[in-house]
Amino acid sequence: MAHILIIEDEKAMSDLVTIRFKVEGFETEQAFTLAEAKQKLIAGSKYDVILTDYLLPDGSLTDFLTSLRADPTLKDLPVVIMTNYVEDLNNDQLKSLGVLDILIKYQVVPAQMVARIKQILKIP
Amino acid sequence: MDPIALGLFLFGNSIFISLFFVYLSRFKKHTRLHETEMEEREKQLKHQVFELAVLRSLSERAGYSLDLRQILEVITDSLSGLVQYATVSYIMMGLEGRTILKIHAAEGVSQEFIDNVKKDLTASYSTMSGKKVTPGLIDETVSGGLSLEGPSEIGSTFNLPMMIGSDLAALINVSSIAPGVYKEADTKILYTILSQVSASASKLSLVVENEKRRLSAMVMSLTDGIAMIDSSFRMTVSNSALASMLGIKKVESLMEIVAGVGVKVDLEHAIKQALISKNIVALKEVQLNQKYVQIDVEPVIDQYGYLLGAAVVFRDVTAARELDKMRDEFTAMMVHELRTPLTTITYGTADLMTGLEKLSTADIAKTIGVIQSTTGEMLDLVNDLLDAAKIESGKFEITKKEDDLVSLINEKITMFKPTTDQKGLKLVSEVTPTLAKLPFDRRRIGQTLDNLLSNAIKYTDKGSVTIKAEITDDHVMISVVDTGDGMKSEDIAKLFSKFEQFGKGKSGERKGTGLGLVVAKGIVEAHNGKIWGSSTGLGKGSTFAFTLPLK
Repeated sequence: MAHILIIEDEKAMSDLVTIRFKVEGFETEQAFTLAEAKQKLIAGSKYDVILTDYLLPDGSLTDFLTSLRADPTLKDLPVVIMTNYVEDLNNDQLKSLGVLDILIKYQVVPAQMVARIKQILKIP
Repeated sequence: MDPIALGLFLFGNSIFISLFFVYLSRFKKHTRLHETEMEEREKQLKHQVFELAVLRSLSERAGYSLDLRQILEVITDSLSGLVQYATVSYIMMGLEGRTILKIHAAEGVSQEFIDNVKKDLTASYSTMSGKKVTPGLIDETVSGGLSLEGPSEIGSTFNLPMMIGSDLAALINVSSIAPGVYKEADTKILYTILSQVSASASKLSLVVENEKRRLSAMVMSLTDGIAMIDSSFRMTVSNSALASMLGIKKVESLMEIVAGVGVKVDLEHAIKQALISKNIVALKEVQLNQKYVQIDVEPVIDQYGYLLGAAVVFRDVTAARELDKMRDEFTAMMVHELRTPLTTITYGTADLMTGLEKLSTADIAKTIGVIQSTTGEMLDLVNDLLDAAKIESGKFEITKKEDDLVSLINEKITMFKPTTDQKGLKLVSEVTPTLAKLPFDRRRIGQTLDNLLSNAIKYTDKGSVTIKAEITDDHVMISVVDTGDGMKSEDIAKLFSKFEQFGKGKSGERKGTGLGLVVAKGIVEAHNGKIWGSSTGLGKGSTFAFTLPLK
């Protein structure tokens, strides 16, 4: 069973995304801040993919990903971004930090997020 | 010019002119008068009329530009009715060591005749004024008819000095081809008339000077930057606001202004355009020293249609631009605030419609719960937006009624108790139970209490939230005190401003747009009360309080 970490500060949204991943057979974990996400990653839980919001209240995602990639055990962990602020993104920089895809929140529904993550993880 | 002075002046003139006609009719009746005597009288009257005509022309032309040159033009124009001449000329000091010379030929005279007049007049002027006339620095104008066959010798000539105060301001020359046409008596009379004209003109220019000074003082005190440019592109007036906009101490010339605005706008071209079209020319907005400045060039035309120059006006529009920017940011924020809950609701409904079979009863209940609470948040947001807009436009209304504040507070405590229990917070009430009824809008004050209590609970993780109500003089003061996150003092004032929101709300909870406090302020102020926030610093809790008048 694939293990996903969902980082999203909007609880209502996080809950709905989490429910869909759960019913589609994922093992899910929610983090509402980058600090919380970091804690969960350091605690040694093995994740197969991270689905994260771009704007989070406690810091920059770019900084978070940079420190993530510095950790040899996490340097290849697939990351997908979901955001409504497409205008603010530096796509090239994010790609270089190993971001595999950027999903625009209002253009997809959770079922489509699941489909895309399954595709990335090559889950049939 | 002072309108009253001008009025009296013109009124005086018209009396004189009426008198002239009375005199004329008398002459017709008294035909027995000696012919030469009559001629003498007529001559006198002619002189009088000349003097009046000159003064009248001057008063009409006297705008803020009344200068010696204009006076001379008027005088030389008016001389034609009085004496016979081939040329009438004047010479006066110009700017920067230059000399102004004007010769008008009434009859066809040769170039030599003109040259002779010029030579004589220049020499006389130089001698009488003691000023050096440099031949290369003479701005010369010749008008009227020249003729190749015309005589070159001056037959008779006389000079009229034009005195302003005790100084020789200019010299007027009248020359004729015929010899011996000017009698000493005639020239003396003309000189006397000119002295009177000069004296009046001096007085008039004093009035004009005073007006100019008053205008300059006004220009100096303006907050807009202003420079007056005359029709020959010289700067005549500028104010300190202009200097500070350009980032210099004092504006000395038009060149400094042109250099100051940079290459993005062609100020000189705009001035030219304004002078030619006699219409206002608006330039592109420019940024000068972190300020947005709108530059307009307006032609300055006096009441007689005489073009005096152009006023260059620098208007600081920074505040307006900043407001525009804040509005745009606010709109962008609102769009996002609405997009987030709408996206969430879409997720919920999509999940229920297309993937229902996989959801457990608990999942379905949770999804519906999320849709319900998100819809509620959106409704609150839209209501706050509407209230804030009403408050901003002054259309916000409340309905006050004698009501029981204690019961309202107790109602709110019951409502929020489950939330504080869930977070492990104490919800404390310190309300004077004897509080008499007072006039207020129960729904709106309830909304204010909801806002203050929910904020306090949202930003407090441990400790307590206390609601107090106490009577001070003619007010009741309601305060909500928490032991939560607290605030930085510089952020407190921003809380009550529609456009100044700071940071995000606490994660995992409703972020809020900060409009709640803007609306709360509007509600309290509509009750003639006051609202404020205070905190001793980050991590030290916050207090939000408001007052309501007892009557």
